Order: sequence, then C-alpha cells, then structure tokens
Amino acid sequence: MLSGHVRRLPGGRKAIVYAVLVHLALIALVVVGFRWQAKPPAPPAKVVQAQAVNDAETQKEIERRKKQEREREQQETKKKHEQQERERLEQTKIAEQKRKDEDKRKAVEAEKKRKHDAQQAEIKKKKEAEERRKSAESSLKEQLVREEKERTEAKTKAEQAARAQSELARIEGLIRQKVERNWVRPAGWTKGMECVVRVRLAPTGEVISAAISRPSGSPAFDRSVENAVYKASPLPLPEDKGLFEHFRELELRFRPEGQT
Amino acid sequence: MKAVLQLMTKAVLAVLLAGYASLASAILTIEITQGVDGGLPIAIVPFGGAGKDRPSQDVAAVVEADLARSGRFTPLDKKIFVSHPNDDKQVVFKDWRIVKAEALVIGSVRPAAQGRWQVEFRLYDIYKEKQLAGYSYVVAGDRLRAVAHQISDLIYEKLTGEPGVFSTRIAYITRESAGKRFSFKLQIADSDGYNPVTVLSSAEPLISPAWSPDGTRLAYVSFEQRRPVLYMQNVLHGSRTRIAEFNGINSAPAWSPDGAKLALTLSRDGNPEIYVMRLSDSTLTRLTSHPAIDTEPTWSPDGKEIAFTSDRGGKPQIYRMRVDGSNVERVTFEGEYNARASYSADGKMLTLVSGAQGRYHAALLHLQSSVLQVLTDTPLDESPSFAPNGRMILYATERGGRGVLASVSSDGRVRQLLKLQEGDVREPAWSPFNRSTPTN
Repeated sequence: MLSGHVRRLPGGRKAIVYAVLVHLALIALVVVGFRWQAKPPAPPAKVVQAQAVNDAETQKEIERRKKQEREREQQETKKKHEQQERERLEQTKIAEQKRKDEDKRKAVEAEKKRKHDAQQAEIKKKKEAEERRKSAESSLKEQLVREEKERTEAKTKAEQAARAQSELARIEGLIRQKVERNWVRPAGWTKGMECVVRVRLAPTGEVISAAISRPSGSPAFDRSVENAVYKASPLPLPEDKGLFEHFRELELRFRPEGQT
Repeated sequence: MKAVLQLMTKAVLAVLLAGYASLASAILTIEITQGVDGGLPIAIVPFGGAGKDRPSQDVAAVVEADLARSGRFTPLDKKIFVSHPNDDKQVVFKDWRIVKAEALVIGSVRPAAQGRWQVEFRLYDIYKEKQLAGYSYVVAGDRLRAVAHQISDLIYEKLTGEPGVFSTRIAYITRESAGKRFSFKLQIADSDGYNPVTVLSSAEPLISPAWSPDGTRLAYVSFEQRRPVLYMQNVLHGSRTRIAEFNGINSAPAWSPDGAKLALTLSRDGNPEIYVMRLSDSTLTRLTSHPAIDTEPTWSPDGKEIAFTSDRGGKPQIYRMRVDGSNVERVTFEGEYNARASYSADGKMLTLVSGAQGRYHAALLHLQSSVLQVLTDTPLDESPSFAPNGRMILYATERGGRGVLASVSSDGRVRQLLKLQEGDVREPAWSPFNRSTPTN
C-alpha cells in the first residue's frame, strides 16, 4: 500500500535524499552551463559552479541559493504541507475509507445480520412450517392412527359384541337345559299352558327369587315352575363378569311341548 | 332461541329416556318347553315316635304308596336322605334341596290314652322353606290306615291343587272256588285295596256294581235268580231292593249325577235297549230303538248326555246321545272294539275298553280331539272307571290266569296292581268322593 510506504520513511532521511538529488542536478547544470553561457543558468545548477567561479557571484549565488533554498524550503514545506495535506487527505480518505469500510462492513454486517436474521427467520419459518407440516402430518397421522384405532376398536367392539352375543346365547342355552332338567312337569299339563316367572340372580348364579308374573291357572303347574327354577339354582353364568348384567333379572317362559 | 334449545333438550332427554326405558325393559326371556314328565319329587321320612309299642300300620309307608300310585308324586329313595327329622325343629331345608326334593313330609305316631295313637304330620315346601300343612289325629289302631289316606289326600291337594282320592273306596266282585262251585262276593275296599268288606255273597254271578253319587248305595246285577236282575243295596246297613226284574236282560245300571235316576239296559221289548228309570216312582223311559244291541249306558257329569256301547255299526263302538235319546252320534272310530265307557269328572274324556286282535286295553278317549290313548299293555283289561278326581283309572286285568285290580294314572305313566285279593277279582268301580263307612 502506497500510503503505508510513505509513512515508513522518516523526514530527515528524506531531506538528505532530496539534497543529493539537488546537488547532482546543479553539477549537471554547470556542465550544461558551459555550453549555454548566454543563457540564464538554471538556478539549481549554479550552486556548485558559483563556488568554483567567484565570491560576488558566489554571494549572489549564495543569496540566490539561499533564496532558492528558501524557496526550496518553502517548496519543501509546501510540499511537506501538501504531503501532509495529502497525507491528511490520505488519512481522511483512509478514515473515510475506513469509515466507508466500516460502514460497508457494518452494512455488510447489517446485511449479513439481516441476511442471517432473514435466514434465521427463514429457517425458523421453515422450521415452523416444517413443524406445522410435521404436526399437521403427525395430526393427520394421529388422525389416521386414531381412525385406525377407532376402526379397530369398532371392529373389536363388534367382535366383542358378537362374541358377547354368542356367549349370551350359549349361556341362555345352558340355563334352558338346566331348568328343563329340573322341571318336573306335573301330570295333566296340556299344550297351550303357559307360566311366566321373573327370576332374580345373585352374581354367583344363585336364584334370589322366582316370582310368578303370569300364572298358568294351575297351582300345581305354577309350583312345578317355581321349583324348577329353584332346583336349577345356581344357574350357569358367563365367565365374563361384565355380561352378568344381562342375567341379573331373567324371565323364564314355561310353555310345555311334546305331548298331546 | 332459548325456547328451541329447551325443546331440543327435552327431545334429547325424551330420546335418552326412551332408550333407557327400552333398555330397562329388555329383560332376557328364555323359553322352557321341555321337562321331565314325572311325579313331584317328595321326601317322606319314616315317622318317628313309637318306642317299644309299634303301631299296627306304618303310616308313612301307606302315605308313600298312595302318593306313588297316583303318578303325581315320585317319593325319593330314603337311602339318599341326609337327615331324618321327625319334628319341626329338626328340619334343615338345605338337606332336602341337596336330594332335589320339592316337598318334605315328616311325622310321628305315638301311643295315646286308651290304646289309641296320636298321629302327627307336617308337609313342607322345600324351596319356599315353609310348612304347607300340619295336623294331629288321635285314632284307634284300626284307623291308622284311614288316617294315612287322609294325610295323603291333604298332601295331594296342597301340592296339586286338586282333591286327592285316597280316602275314597272301590267296589268290585270276587269269585272264589268253593268246592265244585264258585262263591261270588261284592266287596268294598280302601282305594289301595286294603280293608275289604264283603257287602254281598252269592253262589251265582254278580256283575256291574255302580256307586250312587252320594256313595251310600250300590246298584248291581245279580244272577241269583238264574237271570240278570238289578238290585240296589245300601252300603251302610246292607238293606237292598230289587229295581228291575223285567223279562230278559236287566243290566248295566248307571246313576244319574243327581242320583235320582238310573240308566239301564233292558231287553224286555225284545232287543237290548237303553232306558232311564226314575227311582222315585220307577217310571221308565226308553232312549234307544235300534235292532242292534245298545248297552252300558253312562251319564255325562252334567247329566245332559248318555254315552253307550252299540254294535249298530257292525262292531261294538261308543255312541252318545242326549238324555231324551236324540242326537245319537258315534264317538269312537279307532280300533275294532270299543266298549264299557265312563266319563271323567270334567266330562272331557271317556275311559273305555279298546280292543283289537283279541287284545283289550284300558284306554282314554279325548272327546274334543277324538284322540284315543291306550293306557295299558295287558291283554285282557276290563271295566275301567275314573277316580273321582279324574287323575287315575281303576280297571281289572289278568295276572297268572286270574283277575286282579290295577290302577293307572290318566297320563298312562304310572300303573300299579292293587293289593291282591283272594280269588278272581273283576268289575271294579271307583267310589265318588262322598264316602261312607259300612256297618260291618
């Protein structure tokens, strides 16, 4: 970087360099001045020659040189100022640049941040969307699972109901058989006789009560019906205790068949 | 809006309630159509009481035999009894449920003053765990069987709702050989054949005894004049009157339900026909007039009809007519021979002798359905008659070449021979409920 190089040279060494350069230039002018006597000597070249020529001239030359030196110095100062100015400018510029850079950096950073934020937002959004999607998906899945579960449950329930139904029918059959085995039909029963008895069962199947709700008209027949129920006690019940409710209260309808 | 909501709430409630109601009313109903056709299982515990003095009769055994013979009870085997109670305090109902008894009879017979006996009995409903009957009697030793029959009647009535017939009696004719000749007797016995009492002895045949509805008199046919003549005899004091001694046959007496008339068969007009005689003045009304034989009349319980046997169709069959002889109709169509009908107490059935290929069985004709139900499988059954409650039929049959009496439950399920009397026993007739004690 140019500015950095300039800054590295200290001011003293820079002046020496300049002086050497000026002296060399003056020597060159003396040589050239021998050829061009008529011509006004170029001020820098006359410095060395004047020494070698005379004192008046030298004085003049000194004056001139001093003037030149002053001018040079002025120039130099000016240059220095300019340089400084330049440097200042440069510094400003740099600062500016720096600022700009800083701004730029900031901007970049801001941009970056914005971008990052945006990105984050995007990610978040995406994430959220993903989550939403996922949640939607999972809720759909859940729904599907739920529906499947419901279907399965319904199926299970239906199967259970069917099983329960067949179990009920099975137990009904067992109860019928047991009561029929215990029913001693009294002589003189005729087809068309009917006696209905309400039976209450304990969860063990024990008959708690058997009450005639519709008598047949024959006391002997009714008695045989009541006794059949009591003798059949305990009545068979399903192993599934949940089905007991179906048997807590029963109606047994005695309607003899199989004879005249 | 609120109103609508309320309405909806009400509607929902109504539906719920209806649902609940239907649920509550959805009681499982099980149909029972089959059963064991048998007697009511009854446990009769041998009566206790007697110490060193044994009563002449085992009352519990008489009761048991009565109930078994009726067909409506199945006395349980005593070997399975868990306990043997003789009084109320000893009864454990569970013991009797174990053996599946539906009823329990316990009792005791203890010596009482003046050589008499105190008989106590109790009847229990095993499943209701309550006493249904309980009585105490003090009787002489020779009345123990009679008490036993009374106990049987009480048990029968308590458990079947119908009157028992164990205290009723039967009349029948016996024939015994006496040297070269025969001796005929008209006898009366308990319904189980015990305690026979001879009402009349004769060297000539006696047939067709018929009880008066009040149970005080018997009409019968005697051949003592070498031809059938109709007599009536008071069973209380033995007095007898000749009712019909017309020319020809005088036979087959049958009492009207009110006891005021007698239907009978007379051939005084040449051909056996059915007549009705008014007993108060012996006036006769002829009911049949047919060239075939019409005989064995029997009154329906309502007194409006008379059934009889006639061979007007070629073979003996049962017909019926109004008491004035009108509206004659045939009622038996099954079997080649049907005769000797008598009505059940409810008038719905006839018991009769039904024969085919030389075999004659006691049978039951259901008048409404015309279904003929053969009750026996013995080959020479005769003279069936209903017990007064219609649940048993008494008839004569042959065993070992001689006539014996037997009873069959009206469903044909239980048949039992009565105690074997001496000689040949025939022509049984079951008494009505109104029983009376003969003098001797």
